[in-house]
Amino acid sequence: MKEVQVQCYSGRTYAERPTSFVWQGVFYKVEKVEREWREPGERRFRVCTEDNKSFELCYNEQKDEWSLIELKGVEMKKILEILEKDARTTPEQISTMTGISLAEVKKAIEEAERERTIVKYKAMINWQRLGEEQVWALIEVRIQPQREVGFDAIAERIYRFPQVRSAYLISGTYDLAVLVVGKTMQEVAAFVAQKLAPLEGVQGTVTHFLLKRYKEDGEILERREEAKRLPLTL
Amino acid sequence: MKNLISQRLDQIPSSGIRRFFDLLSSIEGVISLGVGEPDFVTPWHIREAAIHSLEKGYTMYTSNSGLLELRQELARYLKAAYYLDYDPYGELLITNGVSEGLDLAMRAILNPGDEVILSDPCYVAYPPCVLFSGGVPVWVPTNPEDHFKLHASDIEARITDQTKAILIGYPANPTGAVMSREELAQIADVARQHNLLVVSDEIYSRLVYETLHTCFASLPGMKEHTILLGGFSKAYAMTGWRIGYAAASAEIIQAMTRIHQYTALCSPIMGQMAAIEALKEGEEEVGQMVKEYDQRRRVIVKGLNQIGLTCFEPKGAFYAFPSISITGLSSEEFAERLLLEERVAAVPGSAFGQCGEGHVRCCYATSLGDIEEALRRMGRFVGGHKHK
Repeated sequence: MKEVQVQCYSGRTYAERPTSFVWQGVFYKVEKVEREWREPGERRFRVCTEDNKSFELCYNEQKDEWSLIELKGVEMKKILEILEKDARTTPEQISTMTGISLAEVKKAIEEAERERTIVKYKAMINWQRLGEEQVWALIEVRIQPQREVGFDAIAERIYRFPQVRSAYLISGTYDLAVLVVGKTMQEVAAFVAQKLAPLEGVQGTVTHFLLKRYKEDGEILERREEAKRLPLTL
Repeated sequence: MKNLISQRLDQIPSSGIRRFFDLLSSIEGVISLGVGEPDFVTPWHIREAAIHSLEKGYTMYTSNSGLLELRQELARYLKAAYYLDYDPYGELLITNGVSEGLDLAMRAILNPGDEVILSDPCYVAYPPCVLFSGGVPVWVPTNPEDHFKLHASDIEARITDQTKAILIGYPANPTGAVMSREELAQIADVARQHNLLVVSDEIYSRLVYETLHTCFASLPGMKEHTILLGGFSKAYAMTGWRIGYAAASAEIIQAMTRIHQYTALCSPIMGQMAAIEALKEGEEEVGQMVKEYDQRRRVIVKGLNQIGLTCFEPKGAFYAFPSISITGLSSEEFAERLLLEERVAAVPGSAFGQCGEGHVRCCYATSLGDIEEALRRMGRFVGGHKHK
C-alpha cells in the first residue's frame, strides 16, 4: 500500500465518497466509485478514474490515514489467498468466487507461477496416520558470518542437503533453525555429525528431536472440529 | 384437565416447520442449507477469554443492564461505526440475543390493539412477538422483482390511528436483502411524520457485501425514534452464547429493563465476558469470515441461477432466496421432495410469510464443497421436476 492524498465528499460522516486524489505526484479525478465496503478497521472504495484506471482507496479509521492499492495487486492477492487455502480450486471456481473474469484469473495464476510467487502445488500429508516411521529434528545452528555474503553462503551449503526440510535465519542466541527429517534417529544424528557440524563456519549445533506434531502451516493435524450445528434453524 | 394452555397461544400458529425438522432428523447424509447460523466456531481467543473468566470466578449475576465494561465497549463501537452517541449508563441494555431484545421492545411499547407494520416475508419471530404483546401485525407485501425491498409509500398506505411502530430487519433473514441509506431515509421520513417508532433488528449488520451497512438510528433525527437491536451471534459466530443488545432512548431502555429484570434478570456473565473480548479484539476474524461468506455467496447465486432457480444477488446476511416457480411446486412440497429425493435441506419460504411462498431459503454459511454438491443435487432435482 502506498501513501496518497485524498479529497472526499463528507456528508454526515467523514469520507463518504472520495472525489479525487494525488498519487506519485499525479492528480486523478474519480469518475466513479464502483464499490465500497468495510474491512477490519477500514473503509474501502474501488474507484475508476477519468482516464479509466482502477484503484482501491482505503481509509483507516483509527489512524485517520488514506492508502492506495493499484487494482492489479488486489486481484492477485484475492486469487492467491484462495489457492493458498486450497490449491485444487480451479480458475473457473476462483472466477465465480471473486467476480474476476476467467481470463484474468488464468493470466494472474500464470504470472504468479512464472514469478515463483506460487512456488509449488502439493498435498499436505500426515504420514503419522500411515504408521510411517519418521524422525523430525529441529537443529539450532550457530554460524560464523562471512565477509560480503553474511550468513547466506553457509546457509545455502546447509539448505541444499535434501534432508533439510526447512531452514530459517533467526534472531537470538543462535543463527539458523534447520528442520531435518529422517527415517531413524541414527540417520538424523549421522547427518548432523557428518554433514552439518563439520561444515566450515558452523560453530556449534543443538539437536532437538520432535516428539509430536500438533499443527503445521495453520492446520491442526490430528483432530477436526466436528459440526455441532442443528441441521435446521430459522 | 381442559384448557391447560393459555388462550393467548391460540393466535400463534404452531410452526409448520416442526414436521419438516423431524423428517430431516430421520435421514442420513443430508447436506443442509437450512441452518441459520455460521459454520465457523467462535474464534478461539474469544472462547479462551471466556474460559479465563470462568477460571477467575466470574460466575455470578451482572447488573440488570449488563456488565458496564461491555456497555462501554458497545457505546465505543456504535460511535466508531455509525457516529452514534449512546450513553452506556441508561441507553444500552444487554439482552439474551436479539430474540429477547425484540420481545422486550414489543412488550415495552405496545398496548392491546396497537399495530406494527412489518414486511412480508420476514424473520419468523417478528409476528409472534407482536402478538404476544397484544399487538396486531400489519403486513406489507414485498417481491423478488424488487429484491424484497420495503417501500416507504407501501408503509404509509397502511398507517392507521392504531399504528405504533414499524419493525424492520436489514440485512434480511430470509431474503438476504439490504436497503440503501436513501431507501431507509424515506422510511425514516414516514416514521417521523406519523410519529412512529422504528424497531430495527440489525443482527446481520456486519455481514454485508460490496456495500456499507446503514444503521437506522444513524439517519438524521432518527436516534430518538429508533429501538436498535443488535448482537454478537452472526458477526462473531457466537449464536450459542445468547448475547445481544438494545440501544434506544433512556425512557425506552428503562421500560425494557423493567421487564428484563423480572423475566431474565441478566444475560449470562460468561457470554458477556466473551462479548467484551469480541468487541476489543475480534475485528480481524469478522473480516475473514465476511470474505469467506462473500466467496460462497457468489458461488451459490451463480449456481442457483444456472439451474433455473432464479435468484437476485443478495447483499447481506448469509441467505439466498431463490424462486422455485420453474418446478410448479409449493415451497413446502419442494423442500420435502428435495430432502427425500436428493437429501438437501432448504427452508420453505412460506415459513416466513405469504410472500415467501414460491421460494426457499438457502443458507450459504457452509463449506464450498457442500455448496457445490448441494447445487449439483438441486440441479438434478430441478431437471426432473420442470413444470410441464
